[in-house]
Amino acid sequence: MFSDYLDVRSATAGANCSSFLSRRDALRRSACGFGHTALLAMLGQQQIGYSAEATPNSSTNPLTPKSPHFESKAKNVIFLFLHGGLSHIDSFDPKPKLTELDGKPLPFDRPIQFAETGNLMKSPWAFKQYGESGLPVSDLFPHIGSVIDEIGIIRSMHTEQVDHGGAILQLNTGSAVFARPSVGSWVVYGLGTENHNLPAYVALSPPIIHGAKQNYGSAFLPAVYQGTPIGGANLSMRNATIAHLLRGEPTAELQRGQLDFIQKANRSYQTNYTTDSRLDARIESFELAFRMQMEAPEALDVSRETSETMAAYGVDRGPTDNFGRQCLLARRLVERGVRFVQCSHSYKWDQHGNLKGGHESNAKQVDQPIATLISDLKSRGLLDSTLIVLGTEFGRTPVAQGDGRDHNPYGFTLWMAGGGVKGGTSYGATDELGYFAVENKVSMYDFHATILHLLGFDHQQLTYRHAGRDFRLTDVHGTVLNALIA
Amino acid sequence: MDTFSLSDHPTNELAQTCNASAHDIASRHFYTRCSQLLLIAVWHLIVPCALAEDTSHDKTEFFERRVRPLLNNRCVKCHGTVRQLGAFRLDTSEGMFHGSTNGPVVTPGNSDDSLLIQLVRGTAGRRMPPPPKKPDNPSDELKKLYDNLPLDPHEIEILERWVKDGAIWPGYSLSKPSETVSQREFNKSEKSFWSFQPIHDPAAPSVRNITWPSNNSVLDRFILARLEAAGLEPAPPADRSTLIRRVTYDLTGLPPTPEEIQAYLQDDSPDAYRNLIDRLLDSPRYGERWGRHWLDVARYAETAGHDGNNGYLHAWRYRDWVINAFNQDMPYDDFIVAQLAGDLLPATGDKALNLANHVATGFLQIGSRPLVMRDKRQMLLEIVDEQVHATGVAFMGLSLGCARCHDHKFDPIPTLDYYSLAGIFMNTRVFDDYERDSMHLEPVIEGPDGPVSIMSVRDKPRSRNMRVHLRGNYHTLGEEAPRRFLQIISGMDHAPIKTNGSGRLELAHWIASPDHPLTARVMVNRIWQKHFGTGLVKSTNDFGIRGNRPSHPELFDWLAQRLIESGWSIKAMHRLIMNSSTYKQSHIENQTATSTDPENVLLWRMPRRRLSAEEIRDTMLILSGKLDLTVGGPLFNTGYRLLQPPRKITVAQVDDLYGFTPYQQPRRSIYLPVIRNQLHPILALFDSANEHESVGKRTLTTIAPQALFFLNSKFVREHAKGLADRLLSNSELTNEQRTQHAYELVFGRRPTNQEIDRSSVYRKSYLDTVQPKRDELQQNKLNPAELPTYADQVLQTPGLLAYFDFEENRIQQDAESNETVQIFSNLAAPGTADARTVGPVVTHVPGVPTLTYKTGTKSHAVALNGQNQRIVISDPTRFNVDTQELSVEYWFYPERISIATIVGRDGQERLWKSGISGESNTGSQQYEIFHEFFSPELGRYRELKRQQPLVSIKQWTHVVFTCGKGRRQLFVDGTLADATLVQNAPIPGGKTPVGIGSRGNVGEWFQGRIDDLSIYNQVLDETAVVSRYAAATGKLPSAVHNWDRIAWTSFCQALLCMNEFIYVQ
Repeated sequence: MFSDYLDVRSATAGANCSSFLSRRDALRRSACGFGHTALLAMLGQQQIGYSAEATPNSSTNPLTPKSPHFESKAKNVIFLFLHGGLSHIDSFDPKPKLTELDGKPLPFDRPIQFAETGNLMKSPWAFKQYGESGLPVSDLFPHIGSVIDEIGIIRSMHTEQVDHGGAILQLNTGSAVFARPSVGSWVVYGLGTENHNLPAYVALSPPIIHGAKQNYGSAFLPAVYQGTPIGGANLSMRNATIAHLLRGEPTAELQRGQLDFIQKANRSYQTNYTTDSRLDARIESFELAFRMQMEAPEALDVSRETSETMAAYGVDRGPTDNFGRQCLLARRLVERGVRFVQCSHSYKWDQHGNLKGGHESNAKQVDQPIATLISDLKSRGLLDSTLIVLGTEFGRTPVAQGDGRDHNPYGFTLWMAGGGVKGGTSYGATDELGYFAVENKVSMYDFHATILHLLGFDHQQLTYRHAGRDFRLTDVHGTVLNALIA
Repeated sequence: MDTFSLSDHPTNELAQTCNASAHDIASRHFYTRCSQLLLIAVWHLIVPCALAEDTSHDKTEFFERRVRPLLNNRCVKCHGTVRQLGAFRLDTSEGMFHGSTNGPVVTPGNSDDSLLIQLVRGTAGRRMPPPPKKPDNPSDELKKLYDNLPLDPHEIEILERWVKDGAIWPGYSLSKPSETVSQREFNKSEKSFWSFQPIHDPAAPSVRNITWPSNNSVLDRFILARLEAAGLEPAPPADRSTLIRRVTYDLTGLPPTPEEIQAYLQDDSPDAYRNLIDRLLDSPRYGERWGRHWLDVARYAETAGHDGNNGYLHAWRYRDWVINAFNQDMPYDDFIVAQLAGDLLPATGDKALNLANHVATGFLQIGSRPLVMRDKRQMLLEIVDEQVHATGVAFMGLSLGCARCHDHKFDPIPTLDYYSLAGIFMNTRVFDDYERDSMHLEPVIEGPDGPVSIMSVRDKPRSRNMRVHLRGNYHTLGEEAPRRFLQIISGMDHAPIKTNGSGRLELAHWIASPDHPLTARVMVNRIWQKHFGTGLVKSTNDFGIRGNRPSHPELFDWLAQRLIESGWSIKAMHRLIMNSSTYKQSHIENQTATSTDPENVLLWRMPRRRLSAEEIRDTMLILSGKLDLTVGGPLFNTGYRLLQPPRKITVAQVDDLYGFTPYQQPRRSIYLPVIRNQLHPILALFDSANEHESVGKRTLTTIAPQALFFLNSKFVREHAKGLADRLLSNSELTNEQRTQHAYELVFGRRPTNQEIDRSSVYRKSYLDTVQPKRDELQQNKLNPAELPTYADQVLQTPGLLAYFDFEENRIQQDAESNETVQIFSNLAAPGTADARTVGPVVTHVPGVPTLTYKTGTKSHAVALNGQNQRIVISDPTRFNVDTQELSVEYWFYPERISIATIVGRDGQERLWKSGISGESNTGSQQYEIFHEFFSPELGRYRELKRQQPLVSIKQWTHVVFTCGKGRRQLFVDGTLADATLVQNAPIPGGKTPVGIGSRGNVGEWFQGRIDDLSIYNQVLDETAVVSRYAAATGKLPSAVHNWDRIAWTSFCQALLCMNEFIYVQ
């Protein structure tokens, strides 16, 4: 159920971009004989950002840019989600002891596990030190290694969730059990958007299982804060687009003509005195849709980039094509003011078997695009204002399951880059075998609190009243990881 | 692997769940899960008095962040789930505070006296962890590190501080009795709260305007009395055509037909309106509309939601039961009893009735629930909680869930009451065998036509009470909660249920009683809200302290009494409401009333209503004549994958919401599957109910994606086309009559003359835009048989730069040109093939059709393998010069769906290209044709494909795309498929050669055949395109004669986009 907050508005107006009108505003407009020309003029102004004159009632627009609680570097977020469970001990958390004890039994009791596991299994990949920081990265991710000095690694993540479903919901919404708003929804709720011709929050190739839409949904927050999906886990990014963005009429002139015909009728429909602002809101929503239809295809078209850029992201280059498109698109969207972009590498990392082959082929798909995203943002001066987050729902066990590894929620690695993160650092540690986080343990709440902090929010203050109480992303938990902040 | 595995818990746990056994399943998972709940509980506690609770919160934090991890890492191996050395365990609060063989382990507040601290310090004569034994295998080396090192000083400090601070373990209280929360007295204001008072039967008030109330309607008098007191007048009555549209949508969710409108407008009898209402109430469409309201309240869906999203394969029977109950006007009290306890009603000889009663209990099974939790006891508690919550909200408008962890903060619901009710559901089986397969209960039951599987519940063989779970934790049990009802309603300490069963039947009868103060009120309010947009109590699902007070308390009670008196007849309530003058008002606003009562609380007019998601979709289907009115039955046989076949678990998997087959059935929306987290995209777009919890009132949004849907979706276009076809099917009609008919169908009224004019102007200008040559083509009456051959036409076309007909076993060469043709194939390394030899790529393979023109025989085409074969043509004098116009024409025959370039100049320089795009992994046999110009002036962005046309693989298709004269166009099979305005800018010549069959040499390999490729430096006009297509195929393009239909389609679509369509007033 939605809160009273929304009830007030939903009864009178809809909720997107500029279509959110107050009753007072609607009254003012009807009284002034608000015309089509004026409407267009106003919309035109909005394209270059809100000014006080253009939207005197901007406080009623839920997506109007808002200031966070304090000054911050990060303005946008690109959340890279590796679905299935990236093995920390094979990527960013080297365990020499594990190599040494390869094939030996686990020297302590097994915690709850997903399925039967066997003896210890060393990583099939060597680790190398990279950059000035000398942080070790495995041979799975040589490209990411090359930008390691931009990255702050958390090696002591832990979560309660042994299963994918609960764990990815916890990663993406903070709660494994209840339907809660996703991280992106909270961020957009807190910050609004800079570009009203594009969705504020975009989910690229989002998951279609394990909570599916909940992972980018807004739950009890108003629907304007939910992620707009582009593509889906089992679909190629090559042609992925926003639903119904491609025009229905054969030509743009015909589309405009049709829209004019519609709007003329809509204005006649409300010739009588009315305070029903929904009618105006709907007229505006069509204009906005038309503009989005004009602007979004350009934003979504990665082939507008130079061939060098496309090559750097690995677009059209075999295994990197799909995730390369996501990363490149994420950069294009963030450049245009989209607040939160989630790129999902679909349910591929769950290597209960064939760790070597599976992780290798997965890493090939994401390593270069991710590294290029970081260096590209840096060269464009956008890295400081863009927080990049690498998320996965849990790590994998040091013990083998055949030639794979089981789920390990007790200790794993996530990282952040840009957006005010102290690069070239690592925080926390797992035990010598990589099973448990033992030093400076970090929960998902801490992780989320840190994301919000980097965006200028006190995570305890970013709240929304629903069903009689104030909710927040971090529930009643969360400690900001100051060690990771530059 | 997915998320189902064998549980590691003993299988008899379910039986023990009410038994307060401290024998637990101690896992990190469990207790952290639980601590979440606890912390939520703590949250509730600290909100109102944050300062006072801060320290306890800090202590909890300290425990969770520092103490518990330490215990887990260093102690639990020997004192935990597996071993409890010294009869002592440290992974649960019970264990910690129960003590060891050596007595108590901690003395809260005094660390020196605590055995735990003495042991870790080593001052008790022993040290914990104990010193290592002699290693007997190499891994002991490591083992030592974990188990046997003494604690670090800072770790000891942590434990010391924890003990000193009182040894707080969240959810566990050292002084249990003080936590007993059940002895809650209700205060005076709680006891006198309006919704808990008996329903009165107030007398009708007197009014001044005695003519306004319809047939002296008491309802109208209540409304009018308030209006008069506020100095307001009701709005004038709505006109008849407005009224019939309003009531038809209201009762059936569908528009009236023009015939129905005519009949009603011409019916002069005084009973015309009354008869209209009766007719609609008798329609089977009524249950499909009003059943949906109840399904919102009942949080109906066909999957579990959350993690696994298991399918509820038989939930549809519950949905059909609801629809049928509304159609039959099942008394509402029976409706309640069946849903809560239909399985416990005495069996009769009527098999259909017995089946229906069992099916009705699906209400308790269809909620959103986690099914893959490790801790099965916790999982069961979650499920019971969901049932308690749904029952409270749906039937009583009370949110009971808050009382799970503590006395309800706002409503007089003590925790004891929660566990009294929860105990009823705890004694109800929801799984056949939850250990084995987490499956919902699906008994097979004898129906009139043989055995059927249903989703229902049944009582457990033995029943027992639950104990209060202090702070919601099943490890900290309080007193026993006798199974009974709510004390605020039935009195403090009213008698517990005396039954051998679960008590559900008693609960059902208690709720469905005329004496229950909430039941009739809540339902009357739901009905009122659906008719008027807002309930008399605005918060339909909350009749508690935090909810709204009734706007018309007397009317409200009067209506509730009428519901009971009528034998709980919902249809009688509709008649009462809909025959009132209040309901029959117009929507017209006036400024006086607006300023006095802007929210229209007093109902001085009828509010305008936006169609629901289901109404929008169903109406489009019925307007196109495609709505399938089949009643009932399952629709989701596909789209689920069977997980672990022996266990019969199905999991919803929808790759592409818009392509999901069950969602595309032209059935009424209520019959489409409701898949949690993957709702029907159109219904979700228009605010269908949140599928995770009971929805009393949907939120309504007006957002740009909805506008995009109206303007651009295939769905709207398709049904607009269907509507256009209906208008055009009667060739007798004039265009004006067609326009009239369209308005009657879509808006339920006649168009004005101005509207007729505008419509006709619209269609005319549409045709002028799309087809300037249309008349010419029709006048010429192109006769394919009389046309020059395809090849002759090509060769005679001005501006021809190159023509490759691939007919001979070589590529046509113009001896005077500088053209070079390189063909790379897998038979020769790139660059080594003879540049002038065609090689084996131009071929005729038996069994694969070759393009055959009517006007001549062809036997060869280029065949490319889709892996590494391509053709590169360069001719600097022809291609490498800027040009104002360009046209490219080709035929192709794709062998598989992929993303492929057919022809383009897209390499080092990106100039233009055309090809196909589609995904091989979606199972689709269709793809789209694209054409791109990379210069910004020639399309501010890349020209995106339209959704149409989709072309099928393994057939020949003719493509022409042009650029120039300020326009870009794409013709597919002789028909204009896409066009856009661009600047008048030159098309760069560049240096990149023309490539056939791939993008440069880096990708987009085409697999299939290509033939008759020609390139021009002029724009081919539509006549030329049509003429060539006709010469080649012997027929005119199918769409040439349908521009009229397309214009009508566009017009009909515009009507569907209008505000008047989605608002009912």
